[in-house]
Amino acid sequence: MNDASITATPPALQVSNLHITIERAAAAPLTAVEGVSFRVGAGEVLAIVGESGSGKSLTAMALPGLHQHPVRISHGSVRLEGVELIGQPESALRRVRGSRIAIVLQDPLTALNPVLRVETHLVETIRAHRAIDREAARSLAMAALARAGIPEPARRLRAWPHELSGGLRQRVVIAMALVNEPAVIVADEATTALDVTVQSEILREVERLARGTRTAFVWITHDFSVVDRIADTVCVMYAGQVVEQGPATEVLAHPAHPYTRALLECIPIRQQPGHRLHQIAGSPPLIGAWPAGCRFAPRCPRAVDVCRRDPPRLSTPDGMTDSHAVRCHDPVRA
Amino acid sequence: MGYGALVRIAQSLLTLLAMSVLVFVAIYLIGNPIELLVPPQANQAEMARAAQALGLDQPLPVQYLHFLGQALKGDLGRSFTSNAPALTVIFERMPATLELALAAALIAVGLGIPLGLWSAFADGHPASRATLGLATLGFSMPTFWIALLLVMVFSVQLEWLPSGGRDASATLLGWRTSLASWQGLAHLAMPACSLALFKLALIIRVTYAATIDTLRLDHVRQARARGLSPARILWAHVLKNIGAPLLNVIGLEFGALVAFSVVTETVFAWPGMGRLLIDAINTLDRPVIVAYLLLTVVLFTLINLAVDIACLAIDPRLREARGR
Repeated sequence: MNDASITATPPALQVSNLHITIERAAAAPLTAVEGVSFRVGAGEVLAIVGESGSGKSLTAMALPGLHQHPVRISHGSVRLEGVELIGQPESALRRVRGSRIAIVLQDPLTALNPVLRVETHLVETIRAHRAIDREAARSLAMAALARAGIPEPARRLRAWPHELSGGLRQRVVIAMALVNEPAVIVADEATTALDVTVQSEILREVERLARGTRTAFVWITHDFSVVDRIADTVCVMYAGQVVEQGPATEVLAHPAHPYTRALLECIPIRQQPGHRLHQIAGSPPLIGAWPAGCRFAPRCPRAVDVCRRDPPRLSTPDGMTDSHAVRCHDPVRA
Repeated sequence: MGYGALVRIAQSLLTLLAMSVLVFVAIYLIGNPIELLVPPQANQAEMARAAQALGLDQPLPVQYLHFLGQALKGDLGRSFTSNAPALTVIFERMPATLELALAAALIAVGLGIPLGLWSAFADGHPASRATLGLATLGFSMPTFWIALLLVMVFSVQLEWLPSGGRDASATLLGWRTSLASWQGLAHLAMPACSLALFKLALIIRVTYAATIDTLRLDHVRQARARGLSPARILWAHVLKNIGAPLLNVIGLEFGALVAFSVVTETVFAWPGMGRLLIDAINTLDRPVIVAYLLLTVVLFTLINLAVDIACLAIDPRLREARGR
């Protein structure tokens, strides 16, 4: 990420100061996501971590402009390979969706149309973006299935979605995302619905793909063990804001925000056997009902008066790595 | 699929048998047709002779079994009033009704599905809301009233269209039909529209509801995320998915159009099967009533079978379930 060569070519995806609001009929719009910024280079994996309601899925859908009324991007910039997407007309966005930026949704059981064969899904995705005949598209489709780690791709191509297992279906969805060799794949909780062994296989595949095909991944998850496995960089979101971001190894080893720290302590595998598993007291605030001051303050064991009064800024305190930032008045020192 | 189809056919035959018993007994209970068939001044002996000639002096089970035996040979009896075979009497009237039903179905489906889809895609738009509101109004208004209103406006006030009757003087592919001439179409227009209105409203609402549900599904979101064109999403990811439920509704409603267009046919003096049924009921023409109702059962059974097979072709999950 600090490689000098990357600064010459634009990053695969650069998001700056993204604000997402939810319009309301007879009231001021609610701000659901506030000032999110990150960049992902080719072949990198960025994980966005947060609980439900933290704004991570809204962010994911907004990247290729897939948010729908009443959700709106009120401010900010999303640059895909250096090209600004915000403000582009729908027709222009349609050209990049599925070709330069692809999305993998959470539930593989519903992401495929039950009345279309696997082949139709892949071929229509290819032919929406490239003027090639059906046969050529078919062989590309087969190659994509193979790349997504599906055995016997020729046979799977003829299958109906209901004939495949959850793991295979998610691989088909990933193949669909890969098929036009996009610069960025956004995966929203893509392994959450799968059992642990299948999840592990899929993550291995994603790692291989990121390194092998130089595809950038934005991996949305609530699970820090996934971050541990595949992420190069990580954004931790809480109540619509990034509360901590930086290189994954750095954040995992030296979590500076009390929220990140608390999340890490919730993972069973990181705890000594015999110790009671941690949990975070209280529940996250609802969209629009953000507390004044620091949004985590009501649940924070370290909160003092200033936390409840002044909203903290995202910054890099002394003694921390440059690329590591935290939104806290009193960050945890390792 | 072969086994499934056999089961379906066996079920259909049983339905037919049960219906024939029901219809036969019900008609028997309504009254003795002899009193209507003989002249009022006829004496007891003449009445008995007439009853004997028609087989009405036998006990009900015997009458039924006789009827069943004849029916299996394709003979549903002769009309008491015209003495022509009941099936012939009905088949003479069938083209008029089929033509009317077909025209109404084309209007209802041809307008209903696009309007329903559009209302769902433009959900919340004032024009979409207006369409749905009118659709609700459409099936709140009784058919006969709509029919009278049409006559008032287009026949009485504007004098554009004839107020009733059928003109099937022109032929199309050897079939004498009102679809082949302007005169015929002018006669067909109002009955078809008034018959179509209720179905149109229904199809708009059903299509709208199914589309709204489908648009919320993940696979449609995923299709958008893959950059597919709106036309492709509409055809492959919405219409194909709502096809099976929609076909079920359309199939049943088409059956209802053919079998129960009585009111419309009466208002517009359309010489179809519906009016035949009313006449037959008025004269207690038992063979015609029974034959008519049994034909209706056959019609619905055939439509259901066709819809089932069409749904199997659309939805692979159904094939799986039936194949096992």
